Amino acid sequence: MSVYIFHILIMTGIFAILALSLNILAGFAGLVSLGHAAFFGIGAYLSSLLMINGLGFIPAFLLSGGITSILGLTLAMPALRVKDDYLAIVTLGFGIIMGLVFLNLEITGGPDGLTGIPPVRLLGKPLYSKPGFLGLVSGILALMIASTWMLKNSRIGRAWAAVRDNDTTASFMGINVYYYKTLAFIVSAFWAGLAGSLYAHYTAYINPHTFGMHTSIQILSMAVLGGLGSIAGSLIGAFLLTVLPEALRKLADYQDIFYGALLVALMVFRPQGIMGRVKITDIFGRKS
Amino acid sequence: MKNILWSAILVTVMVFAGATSLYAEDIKVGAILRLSQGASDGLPAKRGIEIAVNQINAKGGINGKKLVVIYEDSKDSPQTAVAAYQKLVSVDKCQVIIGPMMSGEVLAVAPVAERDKIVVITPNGTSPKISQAGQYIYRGCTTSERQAAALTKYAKDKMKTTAVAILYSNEPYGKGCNEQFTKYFNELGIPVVISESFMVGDRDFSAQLTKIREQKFDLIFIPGYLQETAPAIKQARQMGIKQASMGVFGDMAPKYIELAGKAAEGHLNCSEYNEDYNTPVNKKFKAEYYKIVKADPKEPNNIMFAAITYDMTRLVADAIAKKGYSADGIRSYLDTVKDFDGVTGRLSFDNDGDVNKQGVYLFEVKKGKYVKVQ
Repeated sequence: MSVYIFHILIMTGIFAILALSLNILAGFAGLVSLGHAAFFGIGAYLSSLLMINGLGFIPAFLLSGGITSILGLTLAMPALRVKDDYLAIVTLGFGIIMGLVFLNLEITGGPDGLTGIPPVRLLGKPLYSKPGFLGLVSGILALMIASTWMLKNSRIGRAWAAVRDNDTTASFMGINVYYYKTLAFIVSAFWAGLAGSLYAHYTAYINPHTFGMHTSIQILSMAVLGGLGSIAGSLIGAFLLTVLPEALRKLADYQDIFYGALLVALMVFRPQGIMGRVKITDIFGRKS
Repeated sequence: MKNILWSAILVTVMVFAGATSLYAEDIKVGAILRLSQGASDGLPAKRGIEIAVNQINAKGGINGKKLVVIYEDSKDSPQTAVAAYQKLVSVDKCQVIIGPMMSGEVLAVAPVAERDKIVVITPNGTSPKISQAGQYIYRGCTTSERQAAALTKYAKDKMKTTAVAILYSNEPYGKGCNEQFTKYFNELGIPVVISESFMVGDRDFSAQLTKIREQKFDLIFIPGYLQETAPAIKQARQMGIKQASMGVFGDMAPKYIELAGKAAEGHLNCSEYNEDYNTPVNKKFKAEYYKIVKADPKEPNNIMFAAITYDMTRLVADAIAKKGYSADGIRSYLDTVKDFDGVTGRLSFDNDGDVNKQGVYLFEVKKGKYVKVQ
C-alpha cells in the first residue's frame, strides 16, 4: 500500500517541478510552450548518459540542469522572434524535433531507450528507498518553490509580469523585453532538466515515448488547471493530474472519459485555473 | 480555497477506496495488459487468462483457494505500466505479474521488479534485451532471434530469396527485428538492398515505398504492428510492388488479413501457436476461445495471444500449487519445469527466462486464411 502511495507522491513531486517550471515561462512571462517535455527529456538523457559514463550523481544532476538551460537559451533565440500562438507552434516544433532526436540517435539507445540507469547516490550509498527518494524530490521542490517565490517578487518577477501583460508597454517603460523573455526560458529549462534527471534515476529506464507531445500537453494542463502565475496552483495541478488517473483506475474503460470530463468541467467553471488569476486566453487573445 | 480542499478530499477518498482488498482468502495474481490502446491484442490476452482462471477455479482453485486475477491497463505507455505495477505489487500484494505486453513496457517494469523480487512474465515482449533484464523476468513467447532464424532460413531454402527490402516500424519491436533479420540475411548470403522506416501511427508509406520500388529484390519484409504493417503492404501492392512479402509475429491475426485484404495473399510469417496442435488441452482451449469470440461480434479475434497468456496463467497456478505463493517459489518452479503440457507446445524455460517450445510455426496467407507451411 504505502509503496504505491510513495510512488504516486514521487511522480507528483517530479511533475510539480515540471509544471512550476512551465509556469515560470507561461504564467510569469506569458510565453506558452508546447514543447516542455523536450527539456524534461534532455535532462533525463543527459543525466543518465553522464552517470552511465562514470560521473557521480551530484555533478550529473547539476550538469543536466545546466546544459538543459543552455539549450533553453538556444531555443529562446529563434523562438522569441515570434509571439503568442506562433511561439506556441515554434515550441511545439522544438518538442517534435527533440522527440525525433531521442528516437534516432545511437547514443540515446534509439527507440529502445536507455536501460540500467544507475540510481541516485548520496554520501556514497545508492538511494533505493521510496521514502528517501520522496525526501530528495521534496527537498528539491522546496528549493525551487523558495527560489521561484523570490524571483516572482523581485525586480525580475515584476518585469516578467509587465512583459506578460503587455510587452509593448513594458518596452516603453524601459524594460528589456528580449532579455527577460530569454531569462524565463533559461530558468524554466534549468528546472525541467533537473526534473528529467530525477525521473531517469528514479525509474532506471527511459525511452523516447515518455518525452513526447502528450507529456508536454500534460505539463501544460497541470499549469493551466492549477492556475497560471500561481506557484501553489502548479503544485495542485500536478497533484490532481497525477493522482486522478490513478484514482480513476477502478473505472477501467471509462477512466479517460471521466478524466476528460473533469478537465472540461474545471475549465468551464474556473477558466483561470484553481488558483490562478491569468487566463490562457489572456495570453493568446490579447491585442498588442 | 474551498475548491482545492474539496477536490483534494475527493481524490484522497478515491485512492483509498481503490485500495481495499476483495477477499483475503483468494490468491491474487496481477496482469498488465493493453486494454485501451492496442486492445485488439490486449483483449484476447485477457480472454486467455480468463479461460485458464475459470478452468482452475471450476476444479476447486489452487489448494482450495480461489485464483483471482487483477487486470490493469498499460495504455501502451511505459510510465503507466510502471504505475500499474506499483499498484498491483503494493496495494494488491501480488507476487507475480503476467504482462506487460510491449517490449518497452517490459523493460521499464523489469528493473523495479528485479529490485522488489517480483516475478514478471511477459506474454509477447520479443525484444532481445528482455533476456538480460533480470532473474525474475520471464517471457512466454520465443525471442525475435529464434523467429528470425526460422523465417530467414525458410526464405532462403524454400522461397529461393536472393535480395531483400525491409520497411520497418521505428519503435523497439520493429527496429529490433530489422537489426536481427538483417544479421541473419547477411549470414545466409542474402543482401538487404534497402532498409526504410516508418513511425507508429503512420498511414502513408508512399515516400518509403517509392524508394523501395526502384531497388531489385524478391522479398519485402515488413516488421511492426499490424495497425501499420497491414496498410503498408496494401499500399505497396497498389504501387506495383509484386514481390513476396514477409512479416513477424504481430501480423499473425485475422485482423491483419481483414485490414490488408487481397494484399495479404501469400504473406509469410511466424506464430507461437498452432491451432491444430493435437492435444486434449488444446482442443478444449480452442473450443472455449471460439465460444467467446462467436458470442460477441465486437470481440477481437486473436487466438495466438490468448494461447500464450492461457499457458502462462496455468504455469503460474501450477507453480503456486506446488511451491506456495511467493515470488521465489514461483521462480524456482519456472526454472525447473520440464515439458509442461501447454497449448503452444511442451514448455520449459532457459537460463535467461525465455520459453522453450518445440519450434516456431510458419504460416502463409492462402485465400484469406493463415495456413501452416513446413
